[in-house]
Amino acid sequence: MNTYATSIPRLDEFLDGGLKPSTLTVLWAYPGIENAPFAYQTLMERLESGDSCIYITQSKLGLTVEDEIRHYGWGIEKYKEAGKFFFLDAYSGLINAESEERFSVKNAKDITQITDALKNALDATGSGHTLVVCDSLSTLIDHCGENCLDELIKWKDIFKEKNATGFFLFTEWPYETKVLNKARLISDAIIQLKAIEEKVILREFFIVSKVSWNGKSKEGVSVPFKISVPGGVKVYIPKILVTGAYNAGKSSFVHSASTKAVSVDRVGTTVALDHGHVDYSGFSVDLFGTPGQERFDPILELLGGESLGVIAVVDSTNEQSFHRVNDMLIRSKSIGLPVVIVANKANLEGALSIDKIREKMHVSDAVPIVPVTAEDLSKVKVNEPAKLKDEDVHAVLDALFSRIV
Amino acid sequence: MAEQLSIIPTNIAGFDEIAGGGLPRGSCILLIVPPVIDAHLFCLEYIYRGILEKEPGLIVTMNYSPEDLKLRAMPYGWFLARGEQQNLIRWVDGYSLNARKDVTSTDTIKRIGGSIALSDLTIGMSQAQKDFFSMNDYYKFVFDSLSTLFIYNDPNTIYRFLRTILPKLRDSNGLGFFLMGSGMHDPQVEMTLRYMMDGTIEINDNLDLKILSLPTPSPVRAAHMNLTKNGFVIDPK
Ligand SMILES: Nc1nc2c(ncn2[C@@H]2O[C@H](COP(=O)(O)OP(=O)(O)OP(=O)(O)O)[C@@H](O)[C@H]2O)c(=O)[nH]1
Ligand SMILES: [Mg+2]
Repeated sequence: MNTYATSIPRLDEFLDGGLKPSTLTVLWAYPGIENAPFAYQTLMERLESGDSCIYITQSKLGLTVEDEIRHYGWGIEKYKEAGKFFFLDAYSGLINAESEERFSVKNAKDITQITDALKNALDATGSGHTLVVCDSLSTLIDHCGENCLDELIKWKDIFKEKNATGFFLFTEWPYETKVLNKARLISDAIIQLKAIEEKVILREFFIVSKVSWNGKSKEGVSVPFKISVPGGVKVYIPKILVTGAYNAGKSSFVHSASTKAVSVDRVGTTVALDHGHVDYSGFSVDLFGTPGQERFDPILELLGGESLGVIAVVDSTNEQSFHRVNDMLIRSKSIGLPVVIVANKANLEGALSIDKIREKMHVSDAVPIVPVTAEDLSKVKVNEPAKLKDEDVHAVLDALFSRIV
Repeated sequence: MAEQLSIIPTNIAGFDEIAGGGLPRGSCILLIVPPVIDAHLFCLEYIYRGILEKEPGLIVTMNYSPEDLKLRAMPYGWFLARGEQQNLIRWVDGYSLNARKDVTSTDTIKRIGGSIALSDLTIGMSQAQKDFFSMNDYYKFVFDSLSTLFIYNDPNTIYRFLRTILPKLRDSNGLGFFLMGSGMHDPQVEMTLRYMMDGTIEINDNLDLKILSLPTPSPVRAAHMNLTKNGFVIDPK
């Protein structure tokens, strides 16, 4: 099926490829959560792929939206100059200001005026595909009344006729249930942005709760995210524990995987912890590496809490140390979390095969064991973390991420 | 004792005496003020006196830019920049971008598109609440003003907005004032807002202050406000 990728990490998988032509996908946000960056990132992806984009703005000036897009590090100017990106200004009229945009409506409280302007704007984009971003569906309801939802059914016909796809923002204010139900009904796909809130918003995540075009519901898989500036939407995993026996290569892994890493209190061996930040494949992740020596086990208990996953590092050449991992998982209260086993030093003499390691460690086939080796053996030094091969490290991260979200 | 501890003084001269010691955490007070009175000064003093006690403060401003307000506070010796240096102040600025000022958001100032951008306003407030959460177990806030929202939004839109943000302010232990112009709104609008808030204080053209309701029992219900060179002094009548 022909779809339009959003480039939001993980989202396209849940949408079966991306946005479906001539449909309406809604970014349904709990108040207080930013949904606009999802739209900005998607429209940049579409523009880069050659599509056009119309941005319907109802609560701020086009200039403000452009500034926000720039704020995330995306260059919108060239698309504007090339006539590929433009605004449909349904805002200036509301504050009695003269619009500076090519397309605008005088009375933004009249939905039919917006419909007409949208048709005109879509005529101006030519025959290629156009992404229509509307900011926002909730403002439409606020200004034009709930009956505007009926008009939106017509918009979908217009999309079909003019080769366009809708991507609408929505803030879930306490509307009447029938309004919310109707909004859900006219949406072909819904991406809910929710929060874990305890006095304040602590964490944010998205769930694709409706995809009319794939017939199957994947609701329930929630993807934690954070908005980084610059960069946009990243899947956010605040804590992954990296643990394993003494000298297995935990510090080496944390340093090799991270864009930025620090070892706290390191004296040849890890005494306190390693911390590293990973920015990879649309994920933003913090790694916490534990010490390995048993005399530091109390630290293990402290570091363990609230991890979302575990990377257990074993030295493939040191069979005697294998049993230690299990003990460490128990101590760090990490049993039951998604885990990937790193079979480190895999190319050294005496390294056991993956199958042998699996057998000796008594782990089921469901747990991935990934062989990892140092990038350059001649550079490996005693008492210092080694640089591990990028492709190996990425294989570990891929395996773990797919188990977490 | 625990009860008493949860009341936070404003430290505005004379105010705490008439307000039963100050405001409890998580209270949202409607401050009805005639448009001719410089009520924003009262707000700035309220936030500034909190900063002196290391209490974080959130200022939502729809009619002036933060830069302008900082200047207006200076003659009274309220150096709000100090609060910014100590990372204690957050602004949500709904004025500057609409006035086409060439400014961008910073770590302490979130600029939003204007009074219709209620989603962005809520996001700005939520971000401040999250920042404050790790600093102190309560914070002060002012919202200047609700009247500006009513110019551009339907009352029902604003009620939905308030039904969303009031619980957030209460849950996160915010305490502060929502300004509203007197005589500018339908009596029904005023009654609805009073009903939604935790208390109401009214000020008239002569700077007479009347407590219509407050979450704390107050011995005196009327007072006169004087604006001196060091700020407001409130005299019970
Ligand atoms: N040859 C080889 N050496 C490795 C590899 N990974 C790590 N090393 C070496 O093994 C030693 C231990 O590595 P670390 O990363 O410090 O191990 P650790 O698990 O953090 O050790 P502790 O914190 O002391 O428990 C160092 O000398 C590394 O250079 C690898 O893949 N191949
Ligand atoms: Mg180590």
